[in-house]
Amino acid sequence: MKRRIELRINGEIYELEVEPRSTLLKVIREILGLTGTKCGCERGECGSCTVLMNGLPVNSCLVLAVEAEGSDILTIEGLSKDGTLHILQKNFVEYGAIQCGFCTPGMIMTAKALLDTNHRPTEEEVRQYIAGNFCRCTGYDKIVKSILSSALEYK
Amino acid sequence: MQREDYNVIGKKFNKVEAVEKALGHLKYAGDIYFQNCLYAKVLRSPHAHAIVKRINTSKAEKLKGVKAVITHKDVPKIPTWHNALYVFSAQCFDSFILEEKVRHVGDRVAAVAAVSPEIAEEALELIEVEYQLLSAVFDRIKAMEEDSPTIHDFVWRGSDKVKIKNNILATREIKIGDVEKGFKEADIIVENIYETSRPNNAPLERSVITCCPGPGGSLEVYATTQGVHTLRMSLAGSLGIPLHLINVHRVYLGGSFGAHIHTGFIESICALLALKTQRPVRLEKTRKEIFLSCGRHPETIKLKTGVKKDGTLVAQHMDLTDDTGAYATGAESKMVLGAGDFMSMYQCPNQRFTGRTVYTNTPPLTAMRGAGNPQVHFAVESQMDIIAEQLMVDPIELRLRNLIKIGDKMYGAGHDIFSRINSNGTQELMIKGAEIIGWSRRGEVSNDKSRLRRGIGFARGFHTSGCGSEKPSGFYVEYSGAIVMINIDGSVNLITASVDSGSGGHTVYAGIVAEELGVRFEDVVVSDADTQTAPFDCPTHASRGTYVVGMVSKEAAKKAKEILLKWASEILEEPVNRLQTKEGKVYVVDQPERWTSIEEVVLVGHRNGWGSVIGLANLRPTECAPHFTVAFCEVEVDTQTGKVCVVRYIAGADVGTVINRNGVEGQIVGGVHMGLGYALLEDTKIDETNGEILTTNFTDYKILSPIDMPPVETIIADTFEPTGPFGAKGSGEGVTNPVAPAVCNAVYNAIRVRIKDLPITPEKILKALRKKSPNH
Amino acid sequence: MKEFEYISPNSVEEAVSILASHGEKAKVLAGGTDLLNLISAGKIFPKLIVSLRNIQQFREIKKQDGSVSVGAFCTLRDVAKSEVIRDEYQILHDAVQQIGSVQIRSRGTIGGNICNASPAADTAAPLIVLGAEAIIQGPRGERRKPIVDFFTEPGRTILDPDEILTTIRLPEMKGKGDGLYIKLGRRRTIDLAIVGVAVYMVLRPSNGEIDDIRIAISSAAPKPLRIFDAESILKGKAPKKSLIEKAALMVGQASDPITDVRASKEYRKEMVKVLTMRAIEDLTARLNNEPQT
Repeated sequence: MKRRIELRINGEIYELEVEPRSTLLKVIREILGLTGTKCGCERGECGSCTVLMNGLPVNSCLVLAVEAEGSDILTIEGLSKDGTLHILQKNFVEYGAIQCGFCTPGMIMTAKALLDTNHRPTEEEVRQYIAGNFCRCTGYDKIVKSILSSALEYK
Repeated sequence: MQREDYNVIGKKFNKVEAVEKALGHLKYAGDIYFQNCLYAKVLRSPHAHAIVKRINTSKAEKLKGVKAVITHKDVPKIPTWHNALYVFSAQCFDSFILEEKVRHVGDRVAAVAAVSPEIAEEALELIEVEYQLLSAVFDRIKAMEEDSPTIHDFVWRGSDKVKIKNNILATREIKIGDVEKGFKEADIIVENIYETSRPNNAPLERSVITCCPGPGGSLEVYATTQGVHTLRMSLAGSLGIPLHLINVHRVYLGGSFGAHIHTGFIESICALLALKTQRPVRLEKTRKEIFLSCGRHPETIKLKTGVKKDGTLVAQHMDLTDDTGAYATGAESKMVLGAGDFMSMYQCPNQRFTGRTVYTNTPPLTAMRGAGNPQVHFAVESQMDIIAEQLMVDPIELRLRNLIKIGDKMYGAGHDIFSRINSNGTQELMIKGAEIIGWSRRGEVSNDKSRLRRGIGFARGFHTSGCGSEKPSGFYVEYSGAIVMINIDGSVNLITASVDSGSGGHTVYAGIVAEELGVRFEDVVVSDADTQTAPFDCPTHASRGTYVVGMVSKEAAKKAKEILLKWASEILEEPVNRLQTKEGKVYVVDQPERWTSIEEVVLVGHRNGWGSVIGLANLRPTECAPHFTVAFCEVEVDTQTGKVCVVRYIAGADVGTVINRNGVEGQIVGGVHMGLGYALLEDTKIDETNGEILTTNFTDYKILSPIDMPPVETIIADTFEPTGPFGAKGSGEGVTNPVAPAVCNAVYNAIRVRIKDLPITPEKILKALRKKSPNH
Repeated sequence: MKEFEYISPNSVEEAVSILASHGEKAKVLAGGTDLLNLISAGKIFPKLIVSLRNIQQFREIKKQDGSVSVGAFCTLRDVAKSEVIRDEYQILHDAVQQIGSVQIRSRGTIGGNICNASPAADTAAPLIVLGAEAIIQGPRGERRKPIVDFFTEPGRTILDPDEILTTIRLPEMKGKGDGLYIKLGRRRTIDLAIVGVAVYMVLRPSNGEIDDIRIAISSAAPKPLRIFDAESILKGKAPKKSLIEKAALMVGQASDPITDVRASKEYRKEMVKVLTMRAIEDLTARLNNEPQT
């Protein structure tokens, strides 16, 4: 049976009817049309569906939408303000950290969660923190560099 | 033009689509949703080899929300097209859209289209299938035995029906010189057997296709494919409908690495369901289904090498057995590519290659970054170190002695098609790399007696840039078309069917067009394209993008520029040969104050009705411009656990002129990452009792994490490829090819144990250490 | 994923009574990081999901009379961030940090890690050597059980379908000794253990002999095991290499691993021995303030 829930995503409140089995990922992508959040494995193993839930990175494929009620959800679409790229987005572009780009939204969300709590991470800390975000293209080098350089400018 | 005069090329510039990707706005195939869409799911065989005796779909059809159920009875009796990259006569047709005889665990039995994926899945469970089980074979050597089960009775090669004996799809024998005589002249002969593994391409994006029916039986198609035109040909061929009814839209890919050169066995299913239901149908693979449909071919390689005391190679014979899985979407191409690779690795007057491609009851395999070459590199570059040790010469010295050089023959995709080497930075890279890693320390690092031992290893290699050859190959279709159009505001559209799988191809082409036209990089837009509007291009494969598509884009730009300059010559009243373009302006040579803007020229033409400024080019490359690479690495081996940790890596690449520095560096480090995975970790495991795939998710199948990656230093050779666009050649695959043997050689240097089968797992290391000293 | 109903009671009592009336058909959802995978893989088909999200209790880490109570609904992140765990139970702190990714640790709970009863659960062996106790609530009230007796077979625990693990009680350890958990994976992060070995050891300050030692292994048998035999030959003795080797051999022999995609049975057995030796040697060095290998 469908349940009526209220979700707060990127600062907007959505009233939705969802099946209990619908994941947050499915609702974000298929009902709300926010396709920036990607689906790579549906098992919480690749990190491409990472969104922030009350500031913490979660695999939205492993969160039931009904469980997200009352939480503040931030997706990649909510990151840039007034057409200005977030510093992480800007640096990912400029450092060449984006190849196929499929991991990028999840990777940037995870990186944001890191920098929100740790303003000056070491390279090791960055690598450890993003390890749940699978990237098949870059070998991680340019991703790590863009996160480290973003930290220096982070507000 | 001198390289230092380039305005765009060689700089670090942002990818054309990077901002859209960073914002999460870019639509990949799976991000495109349609109203009224149905969702398809595929029923897959639980058995490795069986005949579908009886199949009952009535319960599934009755389930509310199910709109169509199809089985082998409902598909066209036409052997399915998978890979129109090959000329028709070379293509292998060995499957139907759905099978009556299933040949691997996960093979396609039936498909459902329903109003939701959940209902489609439920419907699959309601399909009743009775299988008649057949004995199955999973090992490529056993598959060739006389009493082995027959996987295919026959296959079609083009329009020829070919009987398959002992599961061998094809064989090759190639001879150069007199190998027997060569071995007789050799002072030492080294012979070894190498085995390679079965890694998965594992692009992060899962394969997805949506087919939207239109008027008159037409289909609009959005799919993860490396080639829109070849997918269109495959769909039309498999469904038996006219080509013009299908239009495939180009989308950006979330990685591919070879997984989407051919179809992934779902595309025709989806198209058929869309035609049947006359509703948009979306078919998206699960991660498990990706593990069931692609991966690098495992091979058994016997390599015999004859060498003179001074290190000169005098004879070599490679015998290669290539496993293609249950179907051969790439025909025998991996074996043939291996042959070309083997014969081009070093100068050697007497060479023999014997090889065969074999069917097994395992999921179909594909190209994967290197297409046959990583396997051969592993064998040849391991062998070179073994020879060096026997001759007591430095491994680098041995390679330098036998290096192929500018002017030498280069076998691209087999012995019958070849080109010449026109640029080669190998020597430069070897010398630089050796210095950076401290090659002279090599003896010292390995003398450590503690449980952690260090070693340094080296390997070299190459990959072609495309499949160009003096004459058309008889195997590959190899040409590209492109259109460059200058608009009345001075902006430029590049129209290409070439797919950007994430490697930055579109950015490179835009940069090349900007350089050629003399406009700013930002002024060039790579147009949305589909098979109805963009000229033919091959799938993005064989590291051909920069070299071939770059070349045709440059040519199209050149033709547009010719029109532009002709018009400018009327406006500026100067002959064409006195005009040049730069930063969006047309100048008179030596009189920079006399200029007009490109925008103005096009606008004048527009007002006067002279037409549009359009350049169209078609190009078949006659060379394959190998890009050479070197790999140096330092490893630390834990002799108690057998774990190998790569602590430092130096990747050298000879890519000709660097078009986009960020792009090349990204390709190099990414290629090393994938190569290290091949060396140490990545392997699809199969249950040898029933053919079940045991690694179908990222918990069981691991790739190296950011923590496992060593610091990678990149060195780029200072070379210029005279046949390439602005001196450029490819870079994507050459980097990956020598990684595994470099690690293997480093491990040997550390612990004097040589692993000849990939991946180099801790268990193999411990076993080998124990064999070497039983008290270990 | 198959359809299911969903309920989110406000108290453990309520949750337990719902479970009692639904039996095996109901499943408890804590973080969901394992449960949802089991459902979507078709390994279990619950008709009802009982979510713990509205239960405010058992989400804290509290110190009481020396011992520490870890609420079972604490996320792995909560445990990893806890100062008291980091300062007094470093072995648990280290183990928790090795579970999954940051994303998984944001959602997954320590209770879930134990209740899933994976033979490879990273917290199991450390909790066993710490002498932790499980506090379980059911319709008949509360019961307590040492963690070492909590697991029965892969995926199974002593919990009845209507029981919920609410608390993990850690006895006072401060100043007594030190523990070490060594996990061997195929790669350096986010991997299930090929084998895991946890050792807690107390040395006598007077002569450096082993006053007390506990050894537990995971991913090396159908359930996490404590190896009492090996402990007993070490107790009261000086940690000499030959003795450690003998004990490690016993631990290896006591293990009963399987062959799977991560490693073979033989390799696992061998690694249990190697890691046990390494753990005891490293702990000895650490307790004696010597450099570790």
